[in-house]
Amino acid sequence: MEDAIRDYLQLKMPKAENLSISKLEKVIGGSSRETMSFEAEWIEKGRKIARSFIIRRDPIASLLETDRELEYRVMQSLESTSLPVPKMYWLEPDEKWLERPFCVMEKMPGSPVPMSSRVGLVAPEDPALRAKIAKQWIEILAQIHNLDWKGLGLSFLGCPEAGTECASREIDKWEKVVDKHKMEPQPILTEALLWLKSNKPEAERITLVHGDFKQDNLLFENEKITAFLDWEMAHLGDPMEDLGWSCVGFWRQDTHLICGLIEKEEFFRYYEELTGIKVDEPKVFFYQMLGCVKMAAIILTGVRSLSDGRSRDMVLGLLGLTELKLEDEIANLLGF
Amino acid sequence: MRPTTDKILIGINNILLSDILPELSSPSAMVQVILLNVMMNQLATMWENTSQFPLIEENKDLRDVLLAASTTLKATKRDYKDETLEGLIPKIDAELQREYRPGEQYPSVQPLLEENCNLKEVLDRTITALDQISQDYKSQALDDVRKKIRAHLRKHLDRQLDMLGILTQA
Repeated sequence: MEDAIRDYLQLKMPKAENLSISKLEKVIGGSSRETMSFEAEWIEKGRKIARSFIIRRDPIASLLETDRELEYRVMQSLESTSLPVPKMYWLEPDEKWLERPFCVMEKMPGSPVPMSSRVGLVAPEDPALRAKIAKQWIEILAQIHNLDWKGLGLSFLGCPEAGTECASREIDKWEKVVDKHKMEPQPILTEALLWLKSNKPEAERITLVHGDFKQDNLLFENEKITAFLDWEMAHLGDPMEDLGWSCVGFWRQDTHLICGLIEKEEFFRYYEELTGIKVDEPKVFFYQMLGCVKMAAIILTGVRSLSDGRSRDMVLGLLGLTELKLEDEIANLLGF
Repeated sequence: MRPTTDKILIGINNILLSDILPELSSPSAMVQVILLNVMMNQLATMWENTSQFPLIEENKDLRDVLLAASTTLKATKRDYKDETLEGLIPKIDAELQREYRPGEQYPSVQPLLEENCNLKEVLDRTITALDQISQDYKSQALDDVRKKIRAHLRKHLDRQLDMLGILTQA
């Protein structure tokens, strides 16, 4: 694999001399694409250059079937902003290099927030650290929602019409995923989808929506968020959608804190202060319900690939078992 | 769909044999992995023979709920004419007729799973139909059926959550 990566980089950087690759390793976490890091050194115009890279390769099967080009273009569009997003170098659809399509991006400093003792998700145990992360985390969300998405060239994401189109689009998208991947009837998801269709809110504004705004998509170093990652579900929509997704209980890790980080009231208050956007709690509730369906759909996709033998990642099996927690949350939100 | 226990055990086995075993250099560790593989196969077989009871109970409860739904929907049909309703009632009744009866034999998991899936499919359709009918026909009896269905879903959800134990707190 190192040879193939070196050959690829050489093609993309023809002026690089004595190009070498080292420390190629898989990065744990992120089940939608295979992530690897490596270091490269070369000489250019007589100057020695060393740089760290990340490769995100399409998996054989995964939790999500997303458009790699969309994620690449969104992240590339955000390079001119002050959001902590890695620089994107190359998007490669040709399978001849690494067997599957991939993209190459800058490796950002930092690591995921310190692991809690619980399975899978991350949130810091130290309250002071947690508060610092939470503050920056909300600042990033506010920045995303305040972006001039037209000016950044993000119109290719497709702008929903006014009214309930934002909600309808997301319901349709995730209902299709459920229908495609479910292996048995899902009456609780049916209940949730019926409720969503009868309670679609109207969006008051259209913003860029990250689509996966939670605590395990950030990197952190010296008490500072250094990167916000995983833009593959980004789209244009109602900003309340990101808030609703963050409020899903699945990420709370045995606490009542949003994403294991912050009290809900404090989250909303600081978000309003930064954005000037009033948090509409019934809409957040709607998008929390949608978030439960969406996460269940993502899990069903993973369980399907595990059951079909296309994946051997036991994280998918574990997530499949914990999907019950989402059904529990839906039942609680619906009051039964 | 949550992965069934046998599928998880088979998945663990695949990882042991395809991903972990080739990476091992110690002969004793290799032997342990092979022994684990045998044990996993045995556990999958044992699951096949011991996991029927929750299914038997859930299927019985599903039948009770669907019987109540069928009775109410038949009464509703007298006042409210609707194609969905016309099509749904025979489907519920047909599914109620198709009960798995192992007779003298020990009940098997596979037919129970199939029965469970079929019953849930009809329940799913019933939920959708009740929601649709309630848009323009209000009835306490239909509301009660909806409540009964939700109570059933809650009960079995709680049972499954109990069985998951520590994973539900993760």
